Amino acid sequence: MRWRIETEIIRGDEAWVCMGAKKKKIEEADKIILDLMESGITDDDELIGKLSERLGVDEVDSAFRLAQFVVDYGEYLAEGAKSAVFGG
Amino acid sequence: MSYIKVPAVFEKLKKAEEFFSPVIMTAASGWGKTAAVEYYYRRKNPLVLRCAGGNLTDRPSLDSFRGSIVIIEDMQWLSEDASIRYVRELLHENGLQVVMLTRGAVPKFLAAEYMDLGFVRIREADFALGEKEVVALFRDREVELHPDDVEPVTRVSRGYIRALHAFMSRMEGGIRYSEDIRAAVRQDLFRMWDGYLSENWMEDFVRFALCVCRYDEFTIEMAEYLTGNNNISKVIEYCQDVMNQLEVKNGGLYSIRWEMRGYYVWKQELMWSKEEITENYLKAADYYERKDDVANALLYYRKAGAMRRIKELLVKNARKHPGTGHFIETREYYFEMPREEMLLSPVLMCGMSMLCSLLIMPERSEEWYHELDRFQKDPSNRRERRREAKALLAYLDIALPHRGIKGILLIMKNVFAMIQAGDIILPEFCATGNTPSIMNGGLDFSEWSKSDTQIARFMGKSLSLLLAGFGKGLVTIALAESGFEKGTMPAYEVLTRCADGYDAASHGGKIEMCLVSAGIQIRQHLVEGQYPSAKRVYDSIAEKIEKEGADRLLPNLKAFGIWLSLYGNAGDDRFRKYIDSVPDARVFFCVLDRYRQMMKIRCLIHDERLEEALDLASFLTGYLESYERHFMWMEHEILKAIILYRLGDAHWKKHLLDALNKASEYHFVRLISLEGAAVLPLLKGLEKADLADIDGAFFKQVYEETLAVATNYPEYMKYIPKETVTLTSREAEVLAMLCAGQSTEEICDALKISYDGLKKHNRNIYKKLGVKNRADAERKALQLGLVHRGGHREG
Repeated sequence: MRWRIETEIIRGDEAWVCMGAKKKKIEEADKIILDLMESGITDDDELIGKLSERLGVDEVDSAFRLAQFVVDYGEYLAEGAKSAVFGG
Repeated sequence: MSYIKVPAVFEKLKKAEEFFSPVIMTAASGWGKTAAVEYYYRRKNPLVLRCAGGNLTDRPSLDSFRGSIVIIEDMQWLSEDASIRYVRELLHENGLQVVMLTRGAVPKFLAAEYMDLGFVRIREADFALGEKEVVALFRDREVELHPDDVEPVTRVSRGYIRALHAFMSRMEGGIRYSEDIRAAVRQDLFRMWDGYLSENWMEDFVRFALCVCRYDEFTIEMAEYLTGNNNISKVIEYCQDVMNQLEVKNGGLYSIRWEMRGYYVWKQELMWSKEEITENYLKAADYYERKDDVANALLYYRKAGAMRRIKELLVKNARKHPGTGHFIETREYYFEMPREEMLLSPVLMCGMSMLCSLLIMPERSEEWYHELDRFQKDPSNRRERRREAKALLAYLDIALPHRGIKGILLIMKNVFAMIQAGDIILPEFCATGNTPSIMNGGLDFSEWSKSDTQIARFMGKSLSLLLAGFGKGLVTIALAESGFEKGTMPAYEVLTRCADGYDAASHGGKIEMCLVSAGIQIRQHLVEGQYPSAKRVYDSIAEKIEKEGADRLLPNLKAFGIWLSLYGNAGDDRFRKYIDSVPDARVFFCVLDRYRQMMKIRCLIHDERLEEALDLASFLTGYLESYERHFMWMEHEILKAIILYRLGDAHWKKHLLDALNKASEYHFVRLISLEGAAVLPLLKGLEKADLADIDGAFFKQVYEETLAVATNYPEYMKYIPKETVTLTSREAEVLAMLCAGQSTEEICDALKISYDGLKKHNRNIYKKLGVKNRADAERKALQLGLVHRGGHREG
């Protein structure tokens, strides 16, 4: 999972993702995912694993959280690779 | 008193006389068999023989008889061998015509003769008096019959002489027909039958009739269960031989004839106690329950006043069919259940919550949800019941239609955790809502389409596990659908993914997912202009659904088929029939009907019934908005735009632009382009300024694809504006005469033109109307108001 090339993350007291004229505030609970992405992790499996570690939850729980992240910020995220779902 | 001739009877007697054929009259008592033969043969001095106690009362030697007609009455009682042999001899005697009267069927011992000797059979229906005969009868008996009463008396009596005598007796002195008179005549007939008929009947038969009379139909098994008699076949045989009281239907079903049912119900009420009648209902309900006929079981438990059994059956039914629980079909029983009973049952509270949501009563749904929640939290309730309540709450959290998908991921996460921990066993629910869509199925998952691949990546596995049987093939099919609707997945890939998903669903999955897969394939083929391929896929899934007995899918499958027919340019009246078959949404609507109602709108547009289409579309708006059915809302806004455009209402533009704006958010191309020829004129009618807020690339794709679909299917909901149909005056004359039903010869004669000349006019007319044959031309001409009914020209 990665941000679209056109996006920019603005950090201050709050964090925002911006793309052109559009912007959206990153909720407090989602900052951990933001941090992981900003640390350079793009591989989905690795993301799930690291998130589970940080939160002390199982991978299913992390996968749901990440899916919710996609629903909330999807227009700022790059399209996922089909190969990640179907293989090949 | 004269005899009133019944034409059908006399014709048959004449025919029999002409060919010297034996006659057999099979009709219950009171239809006038004896009176007919007495009158017809009054100058022939017939020999009349009677049957009683199994025998002919007399078997005279034929040498002593000089006449040529032998009448045998009451053949239903004949069973003794010597008498049967005698009858056979009579039938084979030269120069003798035998006329047999029986209240039952053709006797089995005469089956061979019936075939070989060409019997003329006169049935009950032949004896029924028509209105003309009824008037003559009343006149002959000097009983006044008001002209307005002729029809109801004839209809209610069904032309049955005994009933007509009872009517005459009640209506003497100029009394008019009324419901009171009808009820009184019924009572008169019952008393009369009770007086002299039933004395001769077998006791087992009477008990049998009393036990089954309350039921429209029954099998032998049911009758045995109700009577406790294992020999019902013999009783039925007796009934068929001796009387005409049973109707034999298909599939091993029988019923007591309508006239006699009323009599037996009346007799039952006289002879049985209230407890015995209740016991009869309970037995029937129990029988239906064992046969899984929930509707009848509930009906008869209700008649027996067995509330506890109703409650148990509703719970059992909800558990057995968790997907829909048959809530809609059993809704009246849910609503009749006392509240205090409901509050004791988690399954019923869950059922009520789901039912209210299905019936567009979200507040009541939430009330029942909270009652269930309260039950689950109440420590005084037993642990297993609280556990069941917890599972049902999880089910409602995911499945309640009015809640949409807001927050659903968190809910699913928690539910998944509970399942993993063994806290609950989640009831199965129907992910597709029985429609050919998963994205727009039980809930609207259009939002997920925006990041479909990424969500599938994270969620796919868990979702598949959560949805149990529906999980097989789910991710593959859902992504195919999303890619198809957005026009971002190549056709080959859509079809391949669908095929893979179909395969997975066919092996241990759900047929509902097969329908979704087929639905996507069909739509993909349509976009490609491959109607025959689309039809093949449709026929294949229809066959599979029929073979697997998945009746729950039939209404929406039929709707889908009707929609497909719109592309196939079907010229018959199937669309009008479909409109008539879909219930009026203003009378009754539940969310499960949405798909059919959308197809009904399309059919109404096709049939140019625009006001009705607009009315229905407006009705659905509130539901679609409040239940967050985004996809369907977009579809329906487009249909509304089409309707308003055709009505000449400028608001069409607003509805179309609203739909386009929303669709561009998701990049949903196909829900617009598949409306092809119907929506193309509207797209062409948009100006540059209108499209300022819509993504240019998106609109270009929509427009180009709509153009392609319209080219492939020019007749799809095609609109021919009236003002563009310009017929020459000769063509208008010909059209008017066609619509008036005049033949080719008549038209040629009247207009003094040749057959070839007429053919040429017809060709031009069909072309201008956009039709292929005379029937379609008539229909279109009426729709456009070019002619009125009866073929009169407009203007």
